[in-house]
Amino acid sequence: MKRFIYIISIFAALAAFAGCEKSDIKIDLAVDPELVGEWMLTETVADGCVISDIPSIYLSINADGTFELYQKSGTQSVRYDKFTGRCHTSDGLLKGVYSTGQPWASAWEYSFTQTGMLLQSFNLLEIDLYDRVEIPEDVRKNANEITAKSACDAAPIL
Amino acid sequence: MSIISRITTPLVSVSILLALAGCIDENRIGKDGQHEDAGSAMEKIINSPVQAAQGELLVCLSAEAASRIRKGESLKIAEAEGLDIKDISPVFHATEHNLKYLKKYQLDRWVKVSFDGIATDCAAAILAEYGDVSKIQYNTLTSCGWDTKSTPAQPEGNAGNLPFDDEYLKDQWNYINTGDKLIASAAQEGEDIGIKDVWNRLQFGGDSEIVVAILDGPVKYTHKDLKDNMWRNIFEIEGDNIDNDSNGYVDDIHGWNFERDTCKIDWTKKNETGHGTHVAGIVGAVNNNGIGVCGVAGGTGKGDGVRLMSCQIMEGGVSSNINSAAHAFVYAADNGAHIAQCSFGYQNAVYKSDYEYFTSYGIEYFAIQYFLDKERFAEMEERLNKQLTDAGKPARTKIIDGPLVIFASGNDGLPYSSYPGALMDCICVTGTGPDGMPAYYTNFGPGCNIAAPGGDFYLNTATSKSQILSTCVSEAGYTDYSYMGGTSMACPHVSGIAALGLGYAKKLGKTFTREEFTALLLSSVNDIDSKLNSGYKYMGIDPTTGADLDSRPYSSYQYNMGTGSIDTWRLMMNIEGIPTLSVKFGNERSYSLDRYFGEGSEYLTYESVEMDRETMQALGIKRMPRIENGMLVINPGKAGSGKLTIKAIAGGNSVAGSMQGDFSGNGDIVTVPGEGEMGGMYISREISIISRGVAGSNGGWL
Repeated sequence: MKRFIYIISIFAALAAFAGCEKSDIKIDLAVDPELVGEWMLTETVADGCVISDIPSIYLSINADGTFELYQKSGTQSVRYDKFTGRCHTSDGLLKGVYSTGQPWASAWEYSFTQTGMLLQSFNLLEIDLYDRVEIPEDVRKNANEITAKSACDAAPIL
Repeated sequence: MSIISRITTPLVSVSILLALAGCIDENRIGKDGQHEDAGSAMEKIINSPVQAAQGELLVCLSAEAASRIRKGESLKIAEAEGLDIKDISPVFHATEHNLKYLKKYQLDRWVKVSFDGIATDCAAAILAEYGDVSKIQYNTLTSCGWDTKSTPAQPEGNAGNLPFDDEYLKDQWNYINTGDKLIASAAQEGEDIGIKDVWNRLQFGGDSEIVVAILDGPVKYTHKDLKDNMWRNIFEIEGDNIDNDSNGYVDDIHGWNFERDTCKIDWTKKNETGHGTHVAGIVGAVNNNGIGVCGVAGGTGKGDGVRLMSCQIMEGGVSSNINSAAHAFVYAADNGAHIAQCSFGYQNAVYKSDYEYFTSYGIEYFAIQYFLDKERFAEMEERLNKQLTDAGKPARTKIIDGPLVIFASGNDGLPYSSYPGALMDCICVTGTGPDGMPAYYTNFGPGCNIAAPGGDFYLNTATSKSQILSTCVSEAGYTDYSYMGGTSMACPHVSGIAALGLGYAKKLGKTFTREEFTALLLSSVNDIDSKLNSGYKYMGIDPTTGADLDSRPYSSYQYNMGTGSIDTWRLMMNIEGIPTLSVKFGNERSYSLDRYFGEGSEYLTYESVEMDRETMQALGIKRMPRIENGMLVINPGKAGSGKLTIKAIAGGNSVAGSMQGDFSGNGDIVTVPGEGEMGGMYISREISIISRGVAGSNGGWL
């Protein structure tokens, strides 16, 4: 089964390359400069409900298209998990891929408020509000970087 | 009449139960004129004389006889006809502090009877006729879980850019495995206990409040790489021949020699192997002192290593016997041990269930229960803290509500653990090599809970570097360091990591129940099962013929090494907090449990998922979340948060049954095994659930 899937993916890749015409596709992987900076999640609203006990989350979006996401798992946890990867904006959407190779769970429609920004999931099921802040040094310094080996490996969302 | 309440099925013969409770109300009078405490005479002999010490028997007296002997009265068995009795001595040192709990587990009633001039089984038959005698147990020899291949070490190490400056850390692949082919051609990078980042990034190496009792051969407490981490009884004045702290032992400075019942811990006897010293070094050799080797919880060079208590139960290469081990458990319990590190067991794994072991080894079983007793532990800590504060010293921190017992699974290469390690209450460790695969010697299967590096001689027979390097005894013909292999070496890795975890919990100001901590420990693992789909394990050479033994398919080890290979970093992260799982509402989805139960979580046996009604309502859940194919299946109908608890079995797919009863006749209810096969132990994890419109497949928020 493994070998069969491998062969299928080779063909799929070949087909993708065959379908590319040099002049047709222009890919802009830059990130909107207004998004560049450091942010802290302040509220999450899903399906009209404000979710309590959200994790403590800091997000740093960098001008070179990289990001760091600091996420504290559990209310009793001392240390933040650190996810890294690349992101870009396109047609008003913020999209990203973790350095483990997994894509973000959603593309996010972004807009700005007086104090921060608002990210709304592409499927409209969630709205996250972020304030612009400076990420505390002890959060950065002591974070536990999530690598491919230590990632928590939930099943891919259907 | 005993009060017996059943915890789990199956049924047990009532007559056997009542005999064990010592409460048959029969009008039987023994040869000594005393009422019988049990059934027929021969029913009092609870195990077989195979591999038992000669010239001695362990005898459980009736409660009344035990009381008489405490008053200094003599027993008729001292003049038993046909027996030349040399000595009758209590196995355990009773004091005002421990008598209550010794009585709870019948341990106050055990004496060792030594005699001459008659075969041991005949002596047993004679003693069984006496009403003062309730049970007779042959003093069976245990063996240490070492594959007997030991090589003096002349390590070539260079500290380089390693976390500590100990000379030979480079050769300790069990801590940091770089895949160096000098270790073994099959060595794999990363196949170690994942401790490097704990030492490096957390800069944590242990806590001197944590005490690990080494029940083994003697620990050479003067060893240059151990002496600063040895436990010291600060209430005892060395050499004054007085029991200064009234604990029942005179001059017990670093522990006790239970083979000879003396304060002299002796590693100079002929045929001493250095086994106890090697095991102790794995747990807590002093780190970052510029010499020698590292120990898992040996500190960071600031005097912060865990403390090693030498409980000598073997001497001069001779196997231990039951009464030494049982006595050691009680001593370690009474003197503050958090962990009992036990690299020994019964060869050839003759027992196949907790109940079988319990009925044959009452004294040892109950000694382990004495050690594990939470109420006793709490009282001991309170008493110890009073002694400390009275002496102007800081009190010990409360970290866990009960101590841990950690055993090696055994080296017979059998598909089940040996006892006592297989007991449901004990954490039992299998062994792996520098390739991350099961070692040729390791027992596996039912009774085994977790895997750790124990070395594998056959992966590098030329230099032995594929074994475990640790401290040793130069008097034994080795140097101060040697390589050894076996589940004996795997076990202290888990003991050291557990000790490190307790110290880390203390640092974070956290406390755990023993069950919570055990669950964290046994779920802090990396996957091993997915590597065991194919291939064959070289099993070594038949010692009698010199021919290669048949190779064993790796698939036979699959799902049988316990939950996985222990990972120290994971444990520290687990100790830090309740993990959160973000799930997406609106559809039923499956989620991996690797983060909560370790890699390879889909291979565990899960017992239950529990979520209270309020949480179900908060998340709009109509059907209780469940486990399918090792994944959590949940379908929240709306956004919200809550918690659920998942219960699994660590090691195997069943747990030995148990029951409770009053076996001492004192009204103390204790738990004993019920009938049923040996198995793993229950572990539970509480997981915080957040239901959102979005959920990252790797746990990331975006």
